[in-house]
Amino acid sequence: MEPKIDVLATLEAKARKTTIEELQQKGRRQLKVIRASEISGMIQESIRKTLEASELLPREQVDELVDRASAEFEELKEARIKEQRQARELATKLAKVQQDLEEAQKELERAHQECEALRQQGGAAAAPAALADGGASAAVMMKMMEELMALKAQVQQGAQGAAPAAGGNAAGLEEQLSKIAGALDEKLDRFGKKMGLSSAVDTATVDFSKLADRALEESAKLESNVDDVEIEKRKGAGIMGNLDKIRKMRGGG
Amino acid sequence: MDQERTEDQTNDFEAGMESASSSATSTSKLLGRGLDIGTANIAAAVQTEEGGVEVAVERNAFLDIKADVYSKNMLTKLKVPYVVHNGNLVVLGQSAFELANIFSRETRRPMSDGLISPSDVDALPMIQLIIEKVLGEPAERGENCYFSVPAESIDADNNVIYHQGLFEGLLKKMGYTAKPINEAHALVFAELADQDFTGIGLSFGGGMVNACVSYKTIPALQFSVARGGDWIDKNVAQVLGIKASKATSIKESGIDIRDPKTREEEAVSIYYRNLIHYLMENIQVRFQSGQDMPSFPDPIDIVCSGGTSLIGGFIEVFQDEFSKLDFPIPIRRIFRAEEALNSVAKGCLVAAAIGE
Ligand SMILES: Nc1ncnc2c1ncn2[C@@H]1O[C@H](COP(=O)(O)OP(=O)(O)O)[C@@H](O)[C@H]1O
Repeated sequence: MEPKIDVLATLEAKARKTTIEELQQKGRRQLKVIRASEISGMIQESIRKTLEASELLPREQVDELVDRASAEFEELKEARIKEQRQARELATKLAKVQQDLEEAQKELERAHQECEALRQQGGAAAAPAALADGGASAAVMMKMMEELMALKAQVQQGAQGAAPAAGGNAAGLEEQLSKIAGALDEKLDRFGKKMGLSSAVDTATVDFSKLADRALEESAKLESNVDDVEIEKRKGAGIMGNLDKIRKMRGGG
Repeated sequence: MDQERTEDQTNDFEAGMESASSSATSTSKLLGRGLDIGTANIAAAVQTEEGGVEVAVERNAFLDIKADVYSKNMLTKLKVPYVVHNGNLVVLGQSAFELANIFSRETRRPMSDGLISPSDVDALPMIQLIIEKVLGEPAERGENCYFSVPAESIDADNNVIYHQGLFEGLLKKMGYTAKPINEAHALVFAELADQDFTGIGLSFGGGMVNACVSYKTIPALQFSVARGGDWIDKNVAQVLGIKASKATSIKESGIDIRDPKTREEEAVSIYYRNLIHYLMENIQVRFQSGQDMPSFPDPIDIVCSGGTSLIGGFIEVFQDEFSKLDFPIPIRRIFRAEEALNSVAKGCLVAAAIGE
C-alpha cells in the first residue's frame, strides 16, 4: 500500500495548544483562525501547481494524482472524526460505569451497616431476627452481584466496541475498561465469598432463578452436538438395603 | 481394630440389600436422582428397572480450540462433544481432558477449587449442558434430585451459598425438586448402612476432601479442606519441575504409595501422607474442641471414597498415618468404598429416595 499523508493528523501533531488567558497575557486581543481543511486544500493546490510547473508529469496524471490525494484526505478525515466520536462515547460510558460501580459499592456498604446495626441491637433473644437478617443481607448481595454482572457485560461490550477505533485515545480507554472488568470480577468473587461465609443464611431467601434462567437460555442457544454423543455409564449395586435400614431406624415400615 | 473389610461382611451386606430390593422394588421403579457435582467429575445416579443403580459420568472440564470448519467437522465425525461459545469451539468433558493431554495443554476447570464462583459465570451454560446430559429429564415433574455440595472449608474462603443456590436454581428449572446434601454425608448414606449410618465419611476428590462425622444418620461435624488430588499434582509438579498434567499421569499410572520406586513416586507418596495427616489432625482438633459432639460407645468405621482414594496402597498408608495420631474416637476399621467413584452420587440418591 502507498504511504498516506494524514494532513489533519500532521497539523494536529505540529500544532501547539494554548489558552485564551495565555494569549491575553501576551497582549494578544484578536486571533485569526483558519480551518484545517482549508490548509489542506491550499497544500493540495500548491502541489498541483508545482507538479504542473515542473512539467514532469502530463496534465491528466497530475489531475489523477490530485484526485486520489483528495479522496484519501477525505477518507482520513472521516476516519478521524469517527475515532474522535467513539473516543468521546467511550469516555462517557467509562464515567457512567465508574459512577454505577461507586453507587453499587455504597449501597452494599449501607446494607452491611444496617445488618451490623440489627445484629448489635438484638442479643441472644434476637437470634431469629439475626437469622432473617442474614437472609436479607444475602438477598441484597445477590442483587448487587446481578447488577455487577450486568455492568461487567456492559464494560466488556464497551471494550469490544473500542477495538476497531485505531486512535491511541481509544486504545487507552479499551485498556481502562478491561481493567475495570477485571476489578469487577474480583468484586464479584469477594461478594460471593462474603455470602458463603455467613452460614446462617437460608438459601431459600435468595433468588438465584435469574442466573439459572440466563444459563439455561444461553445453553439452549449454543450450537452443539452434545445430544448425539454417548457418555460413560457405570452399573452399581442397588440401594434398597440402605433405604430399608433408614426407614427402620426412623420407626417406619 | 479390624481394619480390613472382610469378604463375609461384604457378602452379608449385599445379600441383605438384594433381598430387600426384591421385596421393595418389585412393583415400581424408585423415583429420585442423586447428583454428585464434583470438582473433577459430575455423576448422576438413578435406580434401574432391575433394582440396581446406574451412574452416568462426565468430566467437569473444558478445552477451548479455535473454531474452523475443519475442526468442527472432525469433532462431529469423531463424536467428540463440543459447543460453539463466543466464537470458540469448546470441547466438553472427558474428551477435553484427552485432547488436552495429546496437545500438552491444560483443561479449563471452572470448579477446580471446589465451587463455582461468580466469576465463572461464562462456564455456567457448559456446566449446565453436562448436568443435563448425565442427569436426563425428570421422570415426572418435581422428581426429587439431591445434589452434593461441599462443606465450608477450614483453609480457604469458600462460597458455598452461591454455589448451592445456583445449582438448586438450575435443577429446579430443569423440572426437579432440588435439595443440597453435604458430599461426605452422602457418602455415609451410601456406605455405612451396616453401621446404622454411624461413622466417618471421607470423600477424596480432585479439588478438596470432604469429611463428615455422622451419628445414626445425623452429621455431628462436617468440613472440607482445600487439598485433594489437584493439590498433590501441583506440589509434585513443583518439587520435580514438571507440568501438573504430567504429575497427574504419574499418579494415575497404577503406582503403589506404600512402596515408591522412583523419585516421582516418592514425591506422590509424601504428599499423600501429608494430605491424610493434615485431614485427620483437623478432625481430631475439631472433634475435641467442638460442642455437642456425640460420644461413641463402640468403635466406628472410617470409609474413604473418591478418585484420589484409588491409588495403590491408599488404605495401608492411611492406617499408617492414622496410627501416629492420638485420635479421640475409637475406630473399628478403615476401608475404601467398593464403588469409590459412585458413592457420593449413590448417597445422594438414597437421600432423594428417603426425601431426607
Ligand atoms: N487411579 C487413580 N489413582 C490416583 N488418583 C486418581 C485415580 N483416578 C482418579 N484420580 C484422581 O482423583 C481426582 C478426581 O476424583 P473425583 O472423585 O472424580 O473428584 P471430584 O469428586 O472432585 O469430582 C483427580 O485428582 C484424579 O487425578
